[in-house]
Amino acid sequence: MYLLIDPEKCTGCRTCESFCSFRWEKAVAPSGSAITVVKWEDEGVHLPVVCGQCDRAACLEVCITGAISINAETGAVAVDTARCVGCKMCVTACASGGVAYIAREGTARKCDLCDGDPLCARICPHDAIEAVRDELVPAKKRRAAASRYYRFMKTAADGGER
Amino acid sequence: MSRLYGYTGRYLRVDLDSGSITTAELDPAFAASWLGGNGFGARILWDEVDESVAPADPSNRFIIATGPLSGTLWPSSGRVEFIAKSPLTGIYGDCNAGGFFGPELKFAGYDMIVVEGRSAQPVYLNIRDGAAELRDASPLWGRDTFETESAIRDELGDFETQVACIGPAGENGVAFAAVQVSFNRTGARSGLGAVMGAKNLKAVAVRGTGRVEVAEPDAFMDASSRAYHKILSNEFTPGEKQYGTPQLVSLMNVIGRFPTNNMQQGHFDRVENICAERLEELHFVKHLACFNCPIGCDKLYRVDGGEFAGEWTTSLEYETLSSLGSRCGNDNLESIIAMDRICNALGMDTISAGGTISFAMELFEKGIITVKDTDGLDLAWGGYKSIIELLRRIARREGFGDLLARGSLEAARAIGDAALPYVMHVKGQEIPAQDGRAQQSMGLAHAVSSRGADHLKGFPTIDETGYPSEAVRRYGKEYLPEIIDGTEATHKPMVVKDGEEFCAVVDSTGICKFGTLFPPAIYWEDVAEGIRLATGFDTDVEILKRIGERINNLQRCYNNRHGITRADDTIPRRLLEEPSPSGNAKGHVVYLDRMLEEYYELRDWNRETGRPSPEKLKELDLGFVLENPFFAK
Repeated sequence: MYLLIDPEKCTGCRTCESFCSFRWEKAVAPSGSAITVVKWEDEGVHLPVVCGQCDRAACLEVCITGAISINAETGAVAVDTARCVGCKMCVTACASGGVAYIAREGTARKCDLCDGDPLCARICPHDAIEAVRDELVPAKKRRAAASRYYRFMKTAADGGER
Repeated sequence: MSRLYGYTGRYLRVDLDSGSITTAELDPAFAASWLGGNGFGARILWDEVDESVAPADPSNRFIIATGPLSGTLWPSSGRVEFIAKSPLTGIYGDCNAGGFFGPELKFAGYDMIVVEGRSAQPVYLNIRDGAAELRDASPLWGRDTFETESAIRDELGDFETQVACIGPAGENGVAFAAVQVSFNRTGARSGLGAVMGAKNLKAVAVRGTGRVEVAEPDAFMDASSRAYHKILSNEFTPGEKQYGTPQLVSLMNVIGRFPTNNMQQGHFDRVENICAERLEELHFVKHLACFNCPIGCDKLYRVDGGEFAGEWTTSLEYETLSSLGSRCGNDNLESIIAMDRICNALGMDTISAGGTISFAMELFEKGIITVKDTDGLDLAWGGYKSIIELLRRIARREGFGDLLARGSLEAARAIGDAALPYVMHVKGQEIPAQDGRAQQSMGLAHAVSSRGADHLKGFPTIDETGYPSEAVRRYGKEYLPEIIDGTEATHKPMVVKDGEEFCAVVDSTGICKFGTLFPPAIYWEDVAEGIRLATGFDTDVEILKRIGERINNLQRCYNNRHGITRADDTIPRRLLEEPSPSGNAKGHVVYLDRMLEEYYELRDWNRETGRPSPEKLKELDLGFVLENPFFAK
């Protein structure tokens, strides 16, 4: 499973950051969220960036205490904070900023897919985040692409200009 | 109380005369009495800015205040309130903006900033995680708001920084200058951008990595989730999501509430050219939203071809489609997109800018002014090129633009008595896009709002087009059918008073009027639950209503000190005496006297002086007002 992001739908509201951080800390603190909406406001570009749950996860490979492992059920690359010593090797290793070091807790933090029911996907009020099973993604994206063709054909059939 | 939840518990005091910045503790009793936002601001203005202080004086305060729900999980909790004595009206002034600045201020560790004094050089205030400094803004002076925000982020090297700033209009003291926030949101009304300008304060930048904690996290998360669900499942939310406030254009035009040609009428015959459907069809690019907002009323619009190719804007509101559109007789939609962007860049309130220009256009129509007065500009209705040019001249204060930069009332006084009947204002502030003849509650709300003509202080929506189920839920069955009839004055004073208490609480809490007032999904009970669980205060609906009433009455007393009496609670003669020529409102005027009588009775305000009675003040714990020399008299 992973989080499929639709930047076209993302409004930049950051509700995902608020709820994600609340899940970890019982407080809203975007600095502690595992997901961050990166924005170019004046061009209307918004992209929520979150760990992609790599199959060959650099964070896992470099972890000096074996605190990072892959959850067999969800596929999430997750940190066991009890074993994390806060060395930040995982932060260094991840090229996409997927791992955060939370100074106030002294441990690394990353998206663990909420044990299979990701909160951000559940609460995103603009339907920009979806928790997907890998095998279903191509069909889903192909349907989204095809629906543009469908609308075009339907409008033409109805006598519309486009 | 050992500590405050919902609040950070600290605020900043900045003295631009000396450059000193100090941190103060937020008094829990003060927080419980005034909540935040405009409650905090009203009390601080009352205590610190007396009648002798002119709005542009260094001793005026510029206050930025959040509330206990700002930056929490609560839906649409991104609002921030700005408060100061208004350069436009000379009385209590405030404005409110969405975006992300308010939450970021709390993540940085502060509930509020109180700025006084005047810096010798342009500066900006930079706040980062419990520390604040003043930085040189000389290179930014003269630059527009978009350039300013980008330049500050570049300079600080942190692109998550949130900025509130002014453009050239604020620097040049335009009486309706705005505060621009998070690129596309605007604290527009009351002209508070000019207060920043007078202080040589170009911007406030804020960045925080801290936490906003609430008293009962699990219960608060449940309550917030329910609030999201209520908003998302409300029958009016899909329309607001799809179109934003422009969805009102066609609807308000039908009922005759869409100000046209300086409010000569409430019906624009070319409305189809500037309606939401046209905007969406031709210019829609993307939905945008403020902090934690499930609605996302904001849209990015772009012009792809023609005269205005390449122009784009965000937050193009119903108000602007009226003020710079129908109100000026302008149906060129692409030009309105360009004007909206220009106003945001220069930092001006589109309502007052359009209100002032449409006033000038009517003087031009009536022959009271000619091209000799306008520096050659042809101000015929719909002349969009002249409007654009005038917006720029207002911001730069050039020639005729300099005259209009004082606001329509001051401009009329300078032009002469013949111009006065055409000023569509209350207490010096231009009336927004509601013709009270089509919606009586709005006529009253404009007349009594604490910041001069305004729709968002009472925000009565119940009789807009008639929401019977909502009317029954909020007030009970016994008030139907008059309560939802826009042309009926009966019951409207009650609706406006209730709306004013609710809006005062909403504006003090850090949440948005969308989701609360419209769509009417979240009401007193929900907000009371949110505040109770966030703060741990032992609060309920009755206590909050009393806080709302307290805030409204203190703002009123502040205005009384500045000479406001019942005589000022009025609207232009046009709306009182000239029957609306079209729409549902045809034949109606605003029945203000009747509504005012009842409103004053409900408020327990003196019928002549317009002051709250001493008993009312004591009842609301406003006894300190009576110690003020003005009230002691």
